Amino acid sequence: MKKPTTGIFKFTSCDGCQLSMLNLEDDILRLTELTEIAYFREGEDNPLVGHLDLAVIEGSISTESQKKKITDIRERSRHLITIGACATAGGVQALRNWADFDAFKKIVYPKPDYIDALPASTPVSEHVHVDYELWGCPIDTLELSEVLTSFLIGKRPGIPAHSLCMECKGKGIACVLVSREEPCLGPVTRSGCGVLCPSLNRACYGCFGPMEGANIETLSGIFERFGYSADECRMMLDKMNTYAFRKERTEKS
Amino acid sequence: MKDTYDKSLPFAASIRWIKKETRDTLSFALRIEDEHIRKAYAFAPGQFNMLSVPGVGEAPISISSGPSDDILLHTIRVAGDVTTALSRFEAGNVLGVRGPFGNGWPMERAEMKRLLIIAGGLGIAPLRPVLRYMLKNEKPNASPAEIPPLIYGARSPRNILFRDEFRSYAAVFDVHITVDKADPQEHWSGNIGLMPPLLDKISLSSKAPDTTAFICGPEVMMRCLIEELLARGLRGENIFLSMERNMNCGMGTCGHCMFAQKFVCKDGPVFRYQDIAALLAVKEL
Amino acid sequence: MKSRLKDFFEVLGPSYRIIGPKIENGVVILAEIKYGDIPAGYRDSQKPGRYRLSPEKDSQVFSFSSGPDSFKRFLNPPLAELFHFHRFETGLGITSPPFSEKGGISETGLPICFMGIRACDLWALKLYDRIFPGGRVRDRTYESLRRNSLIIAFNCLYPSGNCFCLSTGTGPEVKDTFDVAVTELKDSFLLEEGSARGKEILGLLPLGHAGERQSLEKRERIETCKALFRKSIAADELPEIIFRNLDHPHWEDIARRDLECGNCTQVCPTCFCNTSYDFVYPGGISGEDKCNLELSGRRLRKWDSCFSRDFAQVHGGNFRLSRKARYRHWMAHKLAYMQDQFGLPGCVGCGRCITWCPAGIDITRELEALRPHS
Repeated sequence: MKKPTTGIFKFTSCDGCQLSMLNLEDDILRLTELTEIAYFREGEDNPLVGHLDLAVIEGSISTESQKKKITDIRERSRHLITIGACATAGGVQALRNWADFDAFKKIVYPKPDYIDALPASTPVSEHVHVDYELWGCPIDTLELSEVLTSFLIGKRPGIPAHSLCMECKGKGIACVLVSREEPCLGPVTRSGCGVLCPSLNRACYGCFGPMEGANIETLSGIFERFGYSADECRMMLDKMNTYAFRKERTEKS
Repeated sequence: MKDTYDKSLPFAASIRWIKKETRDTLSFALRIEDEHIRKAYAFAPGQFNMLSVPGVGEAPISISSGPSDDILLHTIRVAGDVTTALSRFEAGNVLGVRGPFGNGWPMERAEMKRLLIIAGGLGIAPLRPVLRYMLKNEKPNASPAEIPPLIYGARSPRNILFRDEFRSYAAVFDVHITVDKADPQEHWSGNIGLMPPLLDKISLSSKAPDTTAFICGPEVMMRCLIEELLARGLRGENIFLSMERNMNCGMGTCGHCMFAQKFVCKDGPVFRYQDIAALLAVKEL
Repeated sequence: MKSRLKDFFEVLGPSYRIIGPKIENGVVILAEIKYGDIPAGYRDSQKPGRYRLSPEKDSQVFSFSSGPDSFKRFLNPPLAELFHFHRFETGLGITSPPFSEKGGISETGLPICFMGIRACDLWALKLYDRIFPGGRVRDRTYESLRRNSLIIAFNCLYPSGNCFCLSTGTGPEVKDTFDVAVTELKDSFLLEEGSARGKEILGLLPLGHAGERQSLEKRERIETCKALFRKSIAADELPEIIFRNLDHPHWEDIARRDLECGNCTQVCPTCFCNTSYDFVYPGGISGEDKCNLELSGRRLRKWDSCFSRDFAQVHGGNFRLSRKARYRHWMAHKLAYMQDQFGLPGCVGCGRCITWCPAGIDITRELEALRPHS
């Protein structure tokens, strides 16, 4: 049987998630034996031709040409997955969605006219159908390995949709929110990072995005009782997953 | 009774043959590989097995063969990962089985004259062992009043499961089939419409209070039919239904299949209507 | 005199893996401990959604109450391997993990000794003994970890602000299911045997004889403790309050406050729900044919929660789609269903779900809101 062909693509992002792929080490060697990497700028230099069985997308859609490119990739690909906060939730660059983009351009660039970007940075799923989304900034290599393995086996990846707290409690970590009043986003954040921050005795800052059905209002209310202002609570969510958190909030209210 | 093999570990079963029943439904005839387990393995009609495609996962599938049949039959609808993986299997391939689990139908009542069997769609799969059992124990010269009715509803004629077998069931049962809709090219001359009107075609009146009903199908269908049966004089304690939930362990230790305080995997899947009527009335238990 | 507690550790150390309380990042957790790890002299303050630990002057050795952990982390681990599988086109190999006949985990081969387990958790342990190896099917993981485990129980003398075991009839005094029961007195510890093995162990310790005076002091101390409880539930009206109010509007009110984070289920000593799934490393894939891949991997079981959205998911639907239904299921399982399922209370009054709920949802108050007169 023919090996499935895979393409790895980058849009507006920092490359960190693609690098996570290379960090799979032993697994990446086996995965490259099992699939044919048809396109991977970070690793080799072949042009994109023909059809793909799997397209892995990093980065948000931020320019007019990216909108065309993602449609082209989708048409070529049997399956398409997004990796990381940029591709899945618009990334930190989506902060401009809530600001005056022209003003930003003027402050940063001497010749703002050269900047050809859309006023909003959006997740890939706003443009094409996405078969599976992998969250995180950056993604977790174990989760990536699970997604790629599942694709090869032909099953849906076993990745939880529940809160980070579940994984945190499983690891037996002392809760920083309850025992120290740290503004931890664990209760509204998707599990999957391996509980990086709470393991180091720090509050979660939500880099894996909102879990399904996140009750952001209640958590903000708790933080306000801790003494944080409503503005401070909002800013806690306005990071690499700002677009997803805000969307979760407006869809709820 | 302690099992002589460990039900927490799958045992290997090879596929003897696969039969395509409908567009999305397949029957798998299995043979247990290990001789010791094959001899020890015994199930009651209405019980289920956990079928494993190791690497993909496990799914609860009711047993469709008769207790004395020489093959172990499972009829599946291709829906999730495990059933999709199974649909790619071929005769000779090996899969994993754990089981049997669950309680099964109260078969002492299948001996009785006053039995009514109702199945909707794939709901006939856990009832087929009862049909097979009764076919095998067919009593000669049964008087018309003793013939138990068998009511079956499917989405369309081409979705009728075990279609070729209904002819043989007619020897023992008073068979009534209906379909939700039929394309003209399907040349369907039978009933079209919902299942409750079929209840008018069978005479229940005087024997209703001591008629036992076995029902399996989508939960909405079962709720609606049970209401009709109660209105026709059947008693809640004589109505048995088989429920569907997402069994994960099969042994009452994972909690997935809980329906209020009932573990569908071990207290069910067959329940006496009277015992769960109050629970069925509450949404999302 | 109280430092003689060390003798316990010396006698048990070689033959058991001693699991007991220890401070980590300002919280009393359970871990494999040495004598010096016991948070002697610390007292916790627990309120809904709040936990603080501080040293206290003139306090006893055991004046802290339960932290988030319970025995369940050790007997029903958050992640357990059920078996290893190797599948190929015409065969299937299944290998169980190596369980030790001596009990406990296989690496050390030592059974577990629970040091300082409380009355509430003993009731939960009794329940676990019915959930896991019960029925016709054995649970090999639990069975193996529970085998030969030793229970050194402690009578609670200081309930936390969220404890309500007095009202559920599951504490504060330990009654059974222990090998040795310990009560801290003013100047010494009172040790009582609860099993033949407990007696044997007490025989190995250099102990003085306890008399009427010590028994009296124990009674007084337990009575003093009972007067310190601040929370209670109407246990004698269960399960009726739940079954009669499954459609109560109050469930909707809870759902608005509920974070659905699942913390309550993870810290609850009686919550047992889990999910098993297959895990394959890329290295486990040997074949390249998509239909009949030759592959090997492991079936794992991890703690799950009825608060997970996909917990009651089947293909084409979810049996508990609303947050209200998920919370109701959890609370009803604790306060009504478990008694019916296993013949023992599903809520042991430890108050962990109240303390560790970031939103401070208090099961005793929610139940009160469901009662007809309130």
